Amino acid sequence: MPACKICRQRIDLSITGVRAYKCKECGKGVCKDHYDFGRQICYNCAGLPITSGRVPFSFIRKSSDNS
Amino acid sequence: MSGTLGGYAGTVLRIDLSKEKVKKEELSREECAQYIGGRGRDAKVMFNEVPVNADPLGKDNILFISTGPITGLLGPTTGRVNVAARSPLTGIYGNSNAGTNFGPELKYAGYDCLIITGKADKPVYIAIDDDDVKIKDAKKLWGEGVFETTLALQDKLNGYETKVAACGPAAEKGVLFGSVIFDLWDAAGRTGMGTVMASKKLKAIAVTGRGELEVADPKRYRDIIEDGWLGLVNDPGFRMGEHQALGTSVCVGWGNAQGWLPTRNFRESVFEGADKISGEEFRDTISIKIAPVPGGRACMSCPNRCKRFGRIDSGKYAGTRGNIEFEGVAAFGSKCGVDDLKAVFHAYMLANDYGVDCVSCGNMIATFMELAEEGIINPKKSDGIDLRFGNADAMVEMVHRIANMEGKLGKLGATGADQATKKIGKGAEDYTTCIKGMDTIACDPRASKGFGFTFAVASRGSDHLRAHPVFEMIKLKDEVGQEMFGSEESCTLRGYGGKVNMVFYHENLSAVTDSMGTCRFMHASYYAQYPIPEIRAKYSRKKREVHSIKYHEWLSAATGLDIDYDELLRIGDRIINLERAINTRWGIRRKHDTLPKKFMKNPLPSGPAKGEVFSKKQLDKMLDEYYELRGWDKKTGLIHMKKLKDLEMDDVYQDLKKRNLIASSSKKKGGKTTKKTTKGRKK
Repeated sequence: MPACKICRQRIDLSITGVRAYKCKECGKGVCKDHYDFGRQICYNCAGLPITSGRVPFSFIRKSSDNS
Repeated sequence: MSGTLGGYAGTVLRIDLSKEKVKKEELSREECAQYIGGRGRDAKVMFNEVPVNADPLGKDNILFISTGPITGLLGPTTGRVNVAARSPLTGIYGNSNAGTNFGPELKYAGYDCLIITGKADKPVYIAIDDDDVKIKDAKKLWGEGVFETTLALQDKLNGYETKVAACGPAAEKGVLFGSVIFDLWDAAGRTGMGTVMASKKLKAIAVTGRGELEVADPKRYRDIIEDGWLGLVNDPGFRMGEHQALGTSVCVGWGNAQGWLPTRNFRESVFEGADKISGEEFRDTISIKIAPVPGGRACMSCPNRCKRFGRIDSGKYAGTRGNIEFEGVAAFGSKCGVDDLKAVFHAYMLANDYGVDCVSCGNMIATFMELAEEGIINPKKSDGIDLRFGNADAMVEMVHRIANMEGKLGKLGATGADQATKKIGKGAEDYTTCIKGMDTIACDPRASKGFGFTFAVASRGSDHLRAHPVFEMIKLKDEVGQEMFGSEESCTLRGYGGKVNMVFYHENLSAVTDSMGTCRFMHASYYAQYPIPEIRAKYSRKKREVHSIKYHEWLSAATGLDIDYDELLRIGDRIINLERAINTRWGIRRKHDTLPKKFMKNPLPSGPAKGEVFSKKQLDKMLDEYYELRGWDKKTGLIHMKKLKDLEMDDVYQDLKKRNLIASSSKKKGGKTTKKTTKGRKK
């Protein structure tokens, strides 16, 4: 299963409609969140600000208080 | 030398964290022939190298992470990995087995086994990239949850190509049932292996492998595997497709209908809220839907896809996502009387992120709830929490508190239900379901006698997976039970007949497949293994071509070792005896092979198994029969000399003899071939 070369999120090709997009400039495969559909290049090559595609899903309480 | 053995990577990686030394050793051919790999070989090295007085959380304890010869090869369910050490939770033999891609990756990197000794001075992680093995600083990761740790290491190393095993902050703090979590969600949860890992200041192991594996006889291997696949797809259980559609959570509805779903800390075995926490409910409300099989995840080369992947998008648990299994659903759901699936899912993912065993954690909370309802503890007063069955918020809060060892109950709960109730006193011990220090999983032994007996004799404490005798649950024809285990009752849940033979067989086969690196579901949920499809065909009116998984041939074709069916089961018997030998040195005797009072004295109040208990008299009788098969002394539970000699375990015999831990009778001994009984044996 490929991973987006920008955010490293797994691109789950088993899901209908999900695919990796190949940047026309650098040739890297990226996810839809980091692909400029208009110019068909990745966010890196497009110079667009990159935000991590990772959604926080950790809910642990970091507690140092053991009293 | 393992040079000529196929299937194996051929190298054992020894990592001494105290000295920061890495050593590569060739795999021992003798150990492979005797104990195969994974669980079996780990036990052998543990027997040889872990001192009897080793502190489970000290530097003398050894942590094993191992694969078998089949791990990473083609064939059904070859993604298993074994973790072993002396357990901090039980003080005896500890081991846990996970289905994940870590094991195959380790083998592709060139290693069959990691043997981790000593203790680092500061937090570290091990980075394995094929031949390159480094011990690196993990200061920044220490204290982080399993999810963050895994993602951070994947980001830093080779992305998703890197497989990560991590322990969580709970294990770092000393919660005794810490788990090792592989690739975010695949847990080696039982017996506190994560706590051993954290005690060595080892936060994680990251592996990237690019190598290849070879089998001894590729053509024969392919033919055998093809036969195995066909055996599996022809299995009626597999064809039904429930497991693939709903994952292991299918057992919620199934257990409830058959009357063995533990409810409110095993007070009952039927849960009125089962529909709300069922596999169907998860599929409809939480599972990600736009996949060919909704939300399914699979280990390497597995057609079963038993892991259910889901995500909560709204409400107070929004953002929760991950992988769900039946044991966690029962532990935080029915055992706690909670019918809010989102809360159960959230608690389960918290347990994974904190790195605690969901079964032990859920059971601990359920035990606290029952103690509170019985008036033995007063959580409102001591901890300001309204612990009662069905209170989802309290259940979720308790996961945080136990994992962080917060407050009185959090600290108590971190020691596990067995130790916690002993500390509480006032009769609290009667409310636990622990055997040999470990909590009972999600099956009520009063309603399911084969499982009950498995719990009593399992080498790592109350545990279904040592045998997993689903045989009694799946309504096979009576003749099949009669032929396999000598009694038609073996095909029924409540009967005792044939159950000892059934557990004996399943234990032996499970020991072998755990050591090979394949999954329990292929031979103890579906029954696709030789000779069961053949026996079923014999009693079926429909005549069709019979296919089956022939583990002995599979193993032979992969490794080049000459193993027939009888030898395969004999290896299983050897592994079980070795685990008994290990436990014998740590004080386990016949008196420990028992069930909690609750199961023997309190009849089930309702449901299909209403009125059932697990009779103490029957248990004693079954133990006698089982010990006879195993070659153990019926009075003490020690192993007879003849049995060890028959199994060619002379080194084990010499060690036990030196410690005076061999059964004393010289006349009556020997296991399955023994004809005499120990009646009238002099003390």
